Amino acid sequence: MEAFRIFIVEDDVFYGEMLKHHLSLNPDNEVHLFKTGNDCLKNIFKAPSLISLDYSLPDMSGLDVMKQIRKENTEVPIIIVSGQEDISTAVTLLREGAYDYFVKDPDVKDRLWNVIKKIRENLQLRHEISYLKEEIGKKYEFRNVIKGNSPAIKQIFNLTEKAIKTNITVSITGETGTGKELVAKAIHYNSSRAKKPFVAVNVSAIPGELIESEMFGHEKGSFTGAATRKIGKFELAQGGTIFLDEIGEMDQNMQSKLLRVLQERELTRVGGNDTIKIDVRLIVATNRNLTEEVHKGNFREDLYYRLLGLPIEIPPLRYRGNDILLLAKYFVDEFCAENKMPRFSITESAQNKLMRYSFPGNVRELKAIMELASVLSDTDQIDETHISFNSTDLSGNFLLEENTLEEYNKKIIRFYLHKYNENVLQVAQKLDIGKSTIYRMLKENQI
Amino acid sequence: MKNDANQIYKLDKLIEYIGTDEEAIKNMISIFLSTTPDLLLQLKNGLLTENYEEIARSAHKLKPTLDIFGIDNLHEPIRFIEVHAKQKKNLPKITETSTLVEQTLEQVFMNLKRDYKL
Repeated sequence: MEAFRIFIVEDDVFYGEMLKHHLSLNPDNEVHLFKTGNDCLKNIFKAPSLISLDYSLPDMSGLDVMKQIRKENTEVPIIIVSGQEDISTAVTLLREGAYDYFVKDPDVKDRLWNVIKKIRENLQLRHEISYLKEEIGKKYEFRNVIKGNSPAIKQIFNLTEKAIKTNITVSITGETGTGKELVAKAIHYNSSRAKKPFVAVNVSAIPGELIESEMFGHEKGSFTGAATRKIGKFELAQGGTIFLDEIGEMDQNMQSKLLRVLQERELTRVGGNDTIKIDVRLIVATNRNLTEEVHKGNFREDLYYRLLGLPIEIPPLRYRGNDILLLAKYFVDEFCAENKMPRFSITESAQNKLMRYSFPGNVRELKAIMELASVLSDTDQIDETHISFNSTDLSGNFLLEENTLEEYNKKIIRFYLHKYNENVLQVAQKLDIGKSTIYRMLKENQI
Repeated sequence: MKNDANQIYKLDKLIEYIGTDEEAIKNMISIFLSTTPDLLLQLKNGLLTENYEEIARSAHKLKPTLDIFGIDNLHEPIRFIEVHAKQKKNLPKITETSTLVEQTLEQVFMNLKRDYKL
């Protein structure tokens, strides 16, 4: 561990030398003694880990020295040591950002050691955190997160690269399971905000009446049950990125509050009076078509434009061609590595079966399918018998729903329209029905 | 050095800070011997010019050092001087107490020089 550099600023030569000698008894400490505030300020570039500052120096008061230090270095803990036994002075100093305030009595050393111990622990934790953050960053490097060679996914790489260079709001759309949150994390952990928090909020998972306090926090006693102050997600993400998933599910009331916060770049906790400046990068995601929600009047137009920013649309897996096989192989390898199993190869028949499937659950579904296949296989191969599709859309469950035949018809047509990208002609051919039947149902809003 | 009851200084506190290394203790005592007379001079000067602020300041500076050297006889007197000088009152009593501080410290200096052959 590097030396713990301590500055002692003390004009009383005896006392200063004594503290210096005392703190130097621990060889980890590198102690520098200064007799005036100016001497200390001239050396502040040496980045001390702790400053012990006498309150009454010959050239300037401890408070002034502290203020000057803070201009250069906002982090270093400053302890004021003084012969003053005056509570109001102490309070002022602590308010101005002193770490602690000691009266010069013979017990000073015990308190100093305590503080040094605490600061060192704190420093160590900070080092660990920044190390771990770097590790997370590596984990979310693009190529580690988003895999694929298809043109569709290369376009995503291209857009995300652009997103990391600026603070622009990013709106991600994509079906369920396509990896919207992963893209959001990749943007955050590759941007200049990587060292600050990434906070994800699933808007649809929070009951309407709680969402405001979840997002903006609340003050103690602001409503029944608010027993303590709560810091909201926006504040937690200060300096970093907030990811609002399923933004289309947000109710109108909250939409207008969010809009205000985004416009003013400040918020007020529920029941609070103080406004709090926020510096947060926003990434939103939805699997709904937001334009449509705007047309229907469910989503505010002004908010929509503010959120649009850089739109990134993640293609469904079925449009990603050979990415399906690439990902299938990746998931199998990952699963084997995690479970210390020998690697599998995927037979051609299994590959064909995968390529023919539509993956309504997208990458998430593929992952589950491949993990199951790895468990089911008794050999070193995964063949088509190990691949089973349990899509919730059209499977055994579907028949258990006990709908009317008409309902079933609608569901089937809806599914195929979705699968063939709303191409009515293609769907009509597949299902061997007249295309006018489909058009009629569309017109009557039945599907 | 032995700390018997009639010793006017006690080094327990200093040893707590410095450790038992004889050289280091001697070094700290030398610093004490060379810097404290200046503070006494400052105190005397304050009394002569009736400059309460200077009196308070020098007493304030002397206080922690006297504590470290375990000069219990001066524990209360040095505080008395500081407090009353700050309140700008009772100069005769301050002067009287300062004389006690000065005489005691002279004795401490002598004993220290004798005990540590400085």
